[in-house]
Amino acid sequence: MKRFSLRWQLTALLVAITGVTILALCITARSELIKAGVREAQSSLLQKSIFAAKSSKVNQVLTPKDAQILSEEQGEALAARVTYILKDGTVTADSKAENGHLAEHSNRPEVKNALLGRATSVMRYSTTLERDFIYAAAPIIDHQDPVAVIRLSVPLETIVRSLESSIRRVYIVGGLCFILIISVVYIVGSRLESDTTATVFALTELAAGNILSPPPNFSFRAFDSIWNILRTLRNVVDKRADLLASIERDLDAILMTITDGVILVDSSDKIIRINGAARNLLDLDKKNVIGLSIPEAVFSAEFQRFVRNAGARGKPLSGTIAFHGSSEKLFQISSHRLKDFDSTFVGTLFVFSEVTHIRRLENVRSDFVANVSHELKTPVTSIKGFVETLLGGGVDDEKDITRFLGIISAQTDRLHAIIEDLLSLSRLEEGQRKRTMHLVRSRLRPIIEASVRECAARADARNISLVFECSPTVDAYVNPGLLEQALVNLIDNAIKYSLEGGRVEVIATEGQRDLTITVQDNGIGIEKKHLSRIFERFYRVDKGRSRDVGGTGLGLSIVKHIAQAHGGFATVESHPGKGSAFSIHLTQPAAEESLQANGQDFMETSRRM
Amino acid sequence: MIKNKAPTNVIQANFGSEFKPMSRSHLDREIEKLKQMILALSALVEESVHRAVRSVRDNDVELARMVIDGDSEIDSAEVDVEEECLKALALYQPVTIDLRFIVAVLKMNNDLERIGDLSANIAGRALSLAKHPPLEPPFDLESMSEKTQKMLRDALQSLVTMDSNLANSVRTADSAVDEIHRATYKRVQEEVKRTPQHATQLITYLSVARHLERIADQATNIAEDVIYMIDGAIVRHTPEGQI
Repeated sequence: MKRFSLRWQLTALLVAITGVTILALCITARSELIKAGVREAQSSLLQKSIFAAKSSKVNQVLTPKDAQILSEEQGEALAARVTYILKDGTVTADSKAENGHLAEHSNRPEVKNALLGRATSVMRYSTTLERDFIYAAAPIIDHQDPVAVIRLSVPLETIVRSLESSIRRVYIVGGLCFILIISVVYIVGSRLESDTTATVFALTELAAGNILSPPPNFSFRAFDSIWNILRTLRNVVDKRADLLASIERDLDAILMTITDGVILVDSSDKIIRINGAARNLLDLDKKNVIGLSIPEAVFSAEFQRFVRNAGARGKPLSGTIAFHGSSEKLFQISSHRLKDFDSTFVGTLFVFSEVTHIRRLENVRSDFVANVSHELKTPVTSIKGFVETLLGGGVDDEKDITRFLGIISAQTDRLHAIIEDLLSLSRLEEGQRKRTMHLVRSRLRPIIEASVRECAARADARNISLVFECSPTVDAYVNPGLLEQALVNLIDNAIKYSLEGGRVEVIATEGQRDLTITVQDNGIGIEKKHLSRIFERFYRVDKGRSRDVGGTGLGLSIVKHIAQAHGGFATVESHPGKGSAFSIHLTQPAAEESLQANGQDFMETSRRM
Repeated sequence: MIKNKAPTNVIQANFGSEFKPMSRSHLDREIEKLKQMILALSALVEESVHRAVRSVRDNDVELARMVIDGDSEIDSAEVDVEEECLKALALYQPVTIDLRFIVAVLKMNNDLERIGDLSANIAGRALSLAKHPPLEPPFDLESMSEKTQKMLRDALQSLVTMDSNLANSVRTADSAVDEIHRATYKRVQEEVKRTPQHATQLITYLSVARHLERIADQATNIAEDVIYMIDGAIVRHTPEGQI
């Protein structure tokens, strides 16, 4: 349905009300005017008739001929129709009648009354002339006796016509009033409308969060106060919005800074908040997951199971779950159900952190304890056994005794080697921690040469060709003794795990800012599952075999630590059956070392400022 | 006559304006539920494949048992999804995209259950491998399983994001896995001749490769179901790149 504007609604309403009122007034005025006019005409006609009756002579009246003349004279003078009626009701003369007879008039009420001596005026419908007439009749008295009646009559129309101009004036005034009222109403309505429109517009702007424009000139004062209230409201809303924005900003900052993954889901289990750590841990990157459910966003059965349980239990829940995305991860996760002030359930908060590393360290530690005891116990058991045998005195043969002492000596050496390695490991660790590692710029080639020379005899013994490749001009910041030890360990391993007649290569390659020394063999290789743990202390790929070929189980761990002491790292690449390649990567500060140090100082000072 | 006709019109108008939107939102809810269910199932299946492969790689008997036991959970989830699909079809008589979604979910459901069986089979192979002296797999188990799992994951991801491009990429990835499987077959043939004492392990590995290849095929089927759901086109028997 089409709605009309305010001013038209107002105008239409006022048109209806004033129209009806003014119309009613006009109609009433007209009828009252006519009534008054008729009453006035009746009384004047009555006076006229009485006067005429008094001035008429009886003889004249009684003779029809004279009566006719008289009636016409009087009719002209009184501006009315004049009729003379005898006592018996016969009409003797009539100023307007054509010569024909008129009906008997004695039964007319005014005539009846006049014959009884009372002058009377009435208004009635004339059957003779078929119109409304005003009649007045007065008796003509002869010797105290009414002998005839003079009747005057005037058509109503004539009287009404004489009132017409007055009535018209009433109508004109009424019409003018109407137009005036309507125009005033229209103007007021228009202003009211423009004020309301402006207010409504301002409210709309307020609702849309836009800035309130300066107030227009209102026609009504009430709207000024409405505008003031709006302005106050606007300020309140702005303050709330600022508060909300700052809360939001703080929350974002907190969520982005903490290293735990945080996911918030609403009551219908859709994600409404997720922080950067959670995205990283779950490999979500920049994917838009807001509004998705957990199963849609996180593709992990264990994670989903935890979320389902958390939903079903309705209590805080925590646990450890495995997650495999780009890599295998372990999460420590806990859930918390969020409740509103009126304790309606509004969502669930999940907080989780990666514990892969911690778990791995725990494994390493427990393995280390087990391994170190085992490694130390083996030679001790052996020594103990042979020493007890010798002490028991059952062995007489000189050869046996020498053999036993040889074994004891070998096992003591082994024990010594293990302790020696452990000590050098702890020295390395301490050196790393206290940063007391002494690095000097030296040629690389002599170091490699020395380590190869040291292993050459062992290589020859197993018929393995040992070659090295290093440009004579390569310089590096190293601790020559430690680097040589690391290389000897690697070459020694390579020889041990190569087949008879194999080949071991030591290759040094110089990059832009780094240096890589790789020891490569074509021996038995290492299975992939061992690679991540191979640098751990006492980690054995194949428990039986390793001890056969000797070694303390600490060689690679020492290599790793030496690389780290040089600010570098050690890596391994291996394919079972094809051989392994162990590399020491050294970063070279080169000539920019001093520059970098300065840069760091500068940064620190700037941070202090 | 006219008097009789008028009320019928009124009822039709009511159906048009009030009855339909109500049933629409019910259907939406049902479809949302189905989506969550199939996603939960697919995560279960994906986990099972992952664990099965790991059990072979690490000779982990315990993990293999876990996979085999977990298959019943997948089976019961499959039954639930199927019942939910049938319920939705019977109650709401969906059309266009909704119908296609439910049909696609029904088919995907079968494929996923089948993948669950295959991964249980792989775990079974891991158990039998553990009974023999360890031997390096005659093929790149790691990269084959990674490729297969990526296909499976992408196929399911394309369902979540309604991404037909991703689904298409799954179809193209299938040939790489097929290639590895063929190469493995040849490799095993040669190795068995060379080292007949390892025949049992080699053949077991061959069957692991075949199961993985079948999983990749099923992932392709899922991707095709997703394409059907999004575009309404059945691409099953057309070569890739022709849509």
